Amino acid sequence: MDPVYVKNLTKIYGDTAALKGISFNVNRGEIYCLVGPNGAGKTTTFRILSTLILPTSGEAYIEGYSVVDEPEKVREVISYLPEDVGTYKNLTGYEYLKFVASVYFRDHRSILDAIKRGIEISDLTDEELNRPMKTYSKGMKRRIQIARALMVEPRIAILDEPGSGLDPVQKHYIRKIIKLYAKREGTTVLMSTHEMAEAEEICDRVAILYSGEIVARGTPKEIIDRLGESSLEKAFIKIVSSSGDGI
Amino acid sequence: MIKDPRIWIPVLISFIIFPVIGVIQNSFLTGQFQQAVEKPINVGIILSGNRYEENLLYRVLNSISERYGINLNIYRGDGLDSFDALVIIGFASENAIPRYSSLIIYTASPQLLGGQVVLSRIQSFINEAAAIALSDLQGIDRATLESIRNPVSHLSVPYIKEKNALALVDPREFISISFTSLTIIIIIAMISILIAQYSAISMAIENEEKTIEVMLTMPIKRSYIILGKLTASGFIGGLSILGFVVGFTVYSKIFLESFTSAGARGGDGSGGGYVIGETIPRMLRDIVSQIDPDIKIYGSISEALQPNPIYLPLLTIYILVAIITMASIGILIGGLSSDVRMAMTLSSNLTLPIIFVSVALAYINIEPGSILSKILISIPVISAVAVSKVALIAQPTMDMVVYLALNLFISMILVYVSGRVLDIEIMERMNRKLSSMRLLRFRR
Ligand SMILES: Nc1ncnc2c1ncn2[C@@H]1O[C@H](COP(=O)(O)OP(=O)(O)OP(=O)(O)O)[C@@H](O)[C@H]1O
Ligand SMILES: [Mg+2]
Repeated sequence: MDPVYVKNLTKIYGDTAALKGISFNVNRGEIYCLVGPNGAGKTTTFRILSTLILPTSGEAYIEGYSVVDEPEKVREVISYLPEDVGTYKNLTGYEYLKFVASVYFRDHRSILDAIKRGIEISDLTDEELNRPMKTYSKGMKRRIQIARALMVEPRIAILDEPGSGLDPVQKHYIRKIIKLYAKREGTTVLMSTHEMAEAEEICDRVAILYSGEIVARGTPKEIIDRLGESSLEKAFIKIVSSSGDGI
Repeated sequence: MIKDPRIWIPVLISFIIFPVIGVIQNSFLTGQFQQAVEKPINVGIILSGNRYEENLLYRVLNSISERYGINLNIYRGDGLDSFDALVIIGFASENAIPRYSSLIIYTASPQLLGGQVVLSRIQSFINEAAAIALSDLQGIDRATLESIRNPVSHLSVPYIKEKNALALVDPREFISISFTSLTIIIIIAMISILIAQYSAISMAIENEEKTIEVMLTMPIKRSYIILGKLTASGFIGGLSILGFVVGFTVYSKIFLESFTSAGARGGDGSGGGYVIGETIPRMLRDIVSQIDPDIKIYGSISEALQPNPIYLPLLTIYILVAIITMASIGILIGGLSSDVRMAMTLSSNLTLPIIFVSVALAYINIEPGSILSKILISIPVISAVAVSKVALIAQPTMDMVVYLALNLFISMILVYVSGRVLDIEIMERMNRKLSSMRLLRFRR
């Protein structure tokens, strides 16, 4: 079974249907992106896949484990980066990485290795790592979170807008790191973005989510070619303006 | 969590609050009190009629003034502020019964808390002198005077109903013991509130700092998270208990020391040691054995108030259950609060009812075995207060185990419910409800 398998997933909040029966699957080691405008349902999908909320109907499996019936198994193989995650203000970056590492690993060696990877990914200096995280800039906070998520070498990393709120340099750095980790460690990455340029650069395959439905899918190039556009951004706008017709 | 100042500052406060109060009281209140007890008092005397009896009193006053630490002078019109008090002595004989009168004008200042003490020192000084003067006038010797002034030698023996026992101890000691047990009750109540607050804050920190989502997707069992929060709050609660107890001990030491030393220096001679000889207990035993041969007689306060050894583990469990209960209530509150301030506000609502119930429990005598007592002893936290109240005197009964089980059951339900709250959807829904309620309140 594929690392991520989603079938007819729906989520209804009161009288808003956040997800209207989406289906997709992610192959091992690929970077799969959900792209779409605000309110499309990206975060909702990720929250279901990371066992935070239950779907209204449909199926979702992570590494063959049902997110509904075996959430504890799912949590062992994923690592989730929420879109507006915070940091423990009074912990230092180092203490935080150490805490997370000790949650995922038992033996001392693996814990130290994980922390080492975390420090490397975060690209923070020793001095910065030993400061309480309340003194961190947005970019530093985001980097320590990405480090936290990737350093434990999850089978599947679920990253909700990893680059949100960062400047172009930081964004570039984070993309580089994600790519590197997906390739080097064979981590399967499921991420979301509403920046088409980012999707075009980093994603092996994308699914365009619009108003709770997947309206297009494939590699960025396939989608661009199919619509005869020059970029994913243009293709996306074309799709969204004619949405409902199905492509 | 321990690193967060919002957690450790209250713990620190629990350690220092009592000693700080003690030191403040000591240096200000008892300091002034001591001063009032010790300082020499300048008293001006006016003999209103300049009669023989008044002059006699003046002479006696003069002879004992040193013992009372009083500088006595006949008033010669030098103004009020050169004296602490001006005493106008009068004498009258009504129906052939002689009597002195005194009018005391004394310097009172709102800053001087010991004003009352100064006044009572002057009064007992005049009383003493007047008694001597009157007995001289009437031809009564000192021994007779003494027996009239203290006609009965009192000895009272408290009966402890719950133990069917008499205690041959100073009843005043008993009062101080009940004061201590009241303090224990208050401490238990305060700790319960603190624990709820700690766990509420530690949960609310997760919400406020938006770290809860990550925690809930980590491979940590929900029960483990709850257990972690419970033990952390329990640990912090235990630390605070320690803080309060240590602090309270220091406080009572400071307070008692300054109080007794002041009392000893200014002692008026009455009271003194409470001595129980040999004959009285024997006599008492004879009489009591006729009333009820089963009545026990204790010779000391520690013997009389020896709690049944069963109470120690029993009370420990009750307190443990109370801690678990309050911690899970805290988790509930914290989970539903979007930030620390909200958690504080919500959990502070617990303070009043808990303190109120505890103090009420401390003062009201609840008939053991009544429905009310059964209900009270079944509810966690309240039961800990109730048990700690009776621990010193009552005998444990078998049905306490049943009530303990009930307590445990209730607290386990709360733990379960607090575990349910570790659900993003429930939290978000409740959060929205609570905030909209608060918004409504603000709009009005
Ligand atoms: N807890 C909730 N209660 C009610 N409606 C919700 C809730 N969470 C999300 N929604 C709704 O579900 C829809 C999808 O939201 P979602 O957060 O998944 O979008 P998104 O694609 O992540 O958007 P963005 O790019 O802005 O993060 C939106 O219409 C949103 O208002
Ligand atoms: Mg989102």
